[in-house]
Amino acid sequence: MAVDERSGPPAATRPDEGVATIEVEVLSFARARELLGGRSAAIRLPAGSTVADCLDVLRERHAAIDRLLPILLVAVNEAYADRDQPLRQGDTVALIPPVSGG
Amino acid sequence: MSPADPTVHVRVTPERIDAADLAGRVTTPGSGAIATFEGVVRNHHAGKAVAYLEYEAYAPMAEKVLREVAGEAAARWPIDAIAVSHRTGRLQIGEVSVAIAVASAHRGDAFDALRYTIDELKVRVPVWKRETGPDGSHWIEGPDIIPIES
Repeated sequence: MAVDERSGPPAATRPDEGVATIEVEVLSFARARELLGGRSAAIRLPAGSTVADCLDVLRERHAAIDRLLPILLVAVNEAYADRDQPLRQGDTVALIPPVSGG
Repeated sequence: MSPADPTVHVRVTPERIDAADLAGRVTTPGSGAIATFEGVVRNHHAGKAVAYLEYEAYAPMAEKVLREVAGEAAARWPIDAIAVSHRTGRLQIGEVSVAIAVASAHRGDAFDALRYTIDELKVRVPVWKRETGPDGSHWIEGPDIIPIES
């Protein structure tokens, strides 16, 4: 098995999965964390998905975040990102309510 | 004379912070001014009593954004060094939530760089405060500030 993993195509494009997918880690903070019921979750998405697609999947699973979405910022790999930014395998997507540090 | 490459220290920590400690770290032989700022937990907000605050941070990104902000200040004003620390966890009234120290040859640049850093911190750095008072707890969202029920 280990040999197959190393020499074959990446997991996301393995032909036996039918549709190519990616997995991203979603981190949520403050009110987003409370609405989603946890700080961290792994989400599988179709390859080519964007930040907006990821938020759609989260909204399907957790309707409560709907009211937060209009004011929510998103970071991908620790940098603020637009909703149309494409996601890649292994990206870290952070849900960032309006900040209030200081 | 100001160093070409000012030193930047940033930290997000659950441990106690204060500006005097940071001032000691930024001072150079060429510094004629040390400006410091401490943000302190106060007992009232938006007309209501506050018992304590809880700060949550996305620590690795918060340190990255703090480094960007401090670096922008260091690029814009001729400073010798800048240090910024932000605290996390539960803070009581009077405790320091954020501390900044800037060293420069002259006071004007130190004041300007300090003001820029705290103002940008408040709108860009991923840190949140949850306020608890006699009526319960809620997240503060946005630097200027309408409490949102959770």
